Amino acid sequence: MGKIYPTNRKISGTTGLCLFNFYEMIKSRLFVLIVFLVSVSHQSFAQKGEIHGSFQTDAQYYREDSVIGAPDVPEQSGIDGFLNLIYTNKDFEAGIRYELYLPPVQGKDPRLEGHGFANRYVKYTVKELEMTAGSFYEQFGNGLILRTYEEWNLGYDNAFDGFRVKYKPSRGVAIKALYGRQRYFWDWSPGIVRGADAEFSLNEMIGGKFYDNPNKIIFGASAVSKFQDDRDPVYKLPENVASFAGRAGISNGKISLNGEYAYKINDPSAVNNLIYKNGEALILNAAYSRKGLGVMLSAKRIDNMNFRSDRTATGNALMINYLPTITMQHSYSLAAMYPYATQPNGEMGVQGQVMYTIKKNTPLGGKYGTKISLHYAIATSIERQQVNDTIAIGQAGTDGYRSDFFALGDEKYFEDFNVQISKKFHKDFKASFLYTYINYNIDVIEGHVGEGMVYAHVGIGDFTYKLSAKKAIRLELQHLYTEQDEKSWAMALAEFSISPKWFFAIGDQYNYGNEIKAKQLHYYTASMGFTKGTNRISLTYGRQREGIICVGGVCRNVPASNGIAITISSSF
Amino acid sequence: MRIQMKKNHIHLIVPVVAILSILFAVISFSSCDKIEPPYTEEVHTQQTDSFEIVRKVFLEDYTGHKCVNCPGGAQTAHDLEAIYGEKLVILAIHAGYFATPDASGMYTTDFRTATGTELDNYFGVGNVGNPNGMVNRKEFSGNRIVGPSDWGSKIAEIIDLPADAFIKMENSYNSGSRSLTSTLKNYILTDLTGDYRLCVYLSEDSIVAAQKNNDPAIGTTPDIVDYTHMHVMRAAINSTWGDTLVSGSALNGTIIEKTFQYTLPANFNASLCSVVAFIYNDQTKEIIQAEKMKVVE
Repeated sequence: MGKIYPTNRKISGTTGLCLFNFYEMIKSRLFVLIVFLVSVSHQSFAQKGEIHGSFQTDAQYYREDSVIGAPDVPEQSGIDGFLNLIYTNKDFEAGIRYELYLPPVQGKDPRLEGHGFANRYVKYTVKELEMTAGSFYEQFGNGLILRTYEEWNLGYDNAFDGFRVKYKPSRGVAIKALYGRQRYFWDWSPGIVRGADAEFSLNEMIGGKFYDNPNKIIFGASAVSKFQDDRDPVYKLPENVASFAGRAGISNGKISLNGEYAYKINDPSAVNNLIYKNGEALILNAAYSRKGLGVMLSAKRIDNMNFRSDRTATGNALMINYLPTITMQHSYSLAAMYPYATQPNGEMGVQGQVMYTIKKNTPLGGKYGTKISLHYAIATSIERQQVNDTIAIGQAGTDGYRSDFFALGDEKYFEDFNVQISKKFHKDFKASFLYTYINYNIDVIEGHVGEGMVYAHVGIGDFTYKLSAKKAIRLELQHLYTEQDEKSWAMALAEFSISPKWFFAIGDQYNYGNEIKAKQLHYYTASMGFTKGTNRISLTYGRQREGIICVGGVCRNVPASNGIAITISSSF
Repeated sequence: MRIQMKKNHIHLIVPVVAILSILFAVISFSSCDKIEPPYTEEVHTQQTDSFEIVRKVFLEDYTGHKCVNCPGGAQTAHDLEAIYGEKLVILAIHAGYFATPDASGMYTTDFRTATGTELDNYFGVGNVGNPNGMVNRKEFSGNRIVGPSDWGSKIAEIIDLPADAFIKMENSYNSGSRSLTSTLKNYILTDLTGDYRLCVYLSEDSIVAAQKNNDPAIGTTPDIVDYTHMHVMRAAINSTWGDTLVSGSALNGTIIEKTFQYTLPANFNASLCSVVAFIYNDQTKEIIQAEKMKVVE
């Protein structure tokens, strides 16, 4: 990584020592890589290749606003930014990524503060073999035992740094193997991760007439292990923790079924309170689609599946695996006020969704047709029993608990039932309506105690009227009713757009139901944006309420703020 | 047709064998470490005489009475104290969001101190969350803030290193005036370069008050009404950042004596209070030696 810290890291064992030297070597080669990338841009080599890039910066100026509980920011500002450069030439690819957080905008992990080259890699493909050295992202199956990715809005980046090889030994067979450490803000994980994955496409393997058969069968298997030395004087900690997963999927164009099961051996960590129980995860998905109709069903069970390259890491740091959420990610502000965060220590859940389009020129469909979506999701605890009479459930330094795989827990974590109807009434007017009923367990999802469950009814209307071919007005009206937490909210947003370049918007969220009069606050905002080609600039002024942002079940807290925010993004 | 089938089988066998070999290799060198009970190491408390010259490590536990995970952190500190005895000096600093007292109800006690809040803001521990702490305020791989599950490892990494300094402390307490006199003889045991400062704080044990908790192995959930708070930071006797001890350099063998006086407030139980002192590098903030002694022996 570009920002180099002195390290006194000691890795026991020959393998670890070799890897350590490899990293030092990689770091020292960073400058060479940059020089290489710059120089090739002036040479014929570069003329035959292509350079692509993307850039974004999010800057915020903070004003004092103790009324909304905005924290004091000594710097009065925060800025995040990145620049990606990727050079490709036939089978060769190299890239670097510069990042800057001076300091990070409020809500992102303060350990991100700094600037430097966070990511650099080279990749080369020779026929069936692809080799990567440096930073890379990878996913095995659904990610139950391995997935690394970058999510800018969360400040999440658990990229690997090491070697990866992908090999296709024959038609329909793909093998991946990797070895490396994970990004830990501006450092690397103390643990080493190694893994392999194999995926078989049966139709391609058998070939012949099966190749074009509409019934497709895919299965795969993966194994991932991490190493972290144990110097703990209190507990006997496993230095090597392995996990395994198997998956299968079948589809025939209209119907698809897939599932994955994962198992992990004892992995006591800060997140599971140092219990030695094995971990398990199961996810099942089924989907049916035809013109005008889509049906989707999912189920999952997770038990003690937090898996990180540092057993002491918490928050969103150093996660090796990804446990998919099976709840809907709402985009409207008030519907997204209570989002669900995956509970790696244990949860069970099901989700179902039906999407139906009522045909045009029918009594309900009208002239343009009507889209209806029904969605339901629930997540609960898993059943837990004491290991014996003397050990409390979850007690550190024990097996923690016993759990019947098929038994439901008795605590609801989250429930969401929603209906969405979208309809075009006129060639210049369309509207969308959403009703959602959310049950949200604050204690579990936010890690508090004694705050209980929130039961929220949210109603939303979204209306768009086209003034001309390019100009449109959009109005969002939202209302959240609840007797819990901060009680009820109302919101309105009006947006005027001149496509494809300009938009102007004003909005207000009003916590009118708060039982404390002084907290019945308005969170007003005014924003505008300009887009030309791939360049985009947006400017927002106003208040932001304290809340939680979640992407795919991974969340971060966002403190209240008042000020000006500017975002500039571009790509080429 | 038969020939085609045979070709297909050969076509399958080669990759399958290759894949299984790789997976087997990965799993083999991964060699899962299945730990059998008991999962804890045997505890043998390291006995040290108060005046024995050893490195004493300073563990700061940033905590709050409304932090549900903090009793778990305190338990970890207690387990480590059982192992390292007087070689480990613990200070529980109540600061930040979870330490804020309520206007009424169970959590009205204010354990916060101005110094604790200043330290929490300076080191940013509360921003990362509670419970968290620092071991000798040392940076480990670029990070100073250490979670309870890592305290043991980090302490083990440094506690057996030779001491760079030693603090010989003697306390004298007048119960009538509640006046404390603490004399610290600071022995420099290696050639030091840079500026070093000496901090002297006061802590109090066994304060019984409510604490939020989510660990049934420790106590009732969600509240332990009569939780015993240990190692609670009460005051900074010579300010948050202390006094200069070494300016520029000091040779091995240097002895610097400092005396401090402090009047204990009426609500402090002198028999449960201790003087906590440590020497740190002013530039890196890393603590090189700590000491703790009861106000009343």
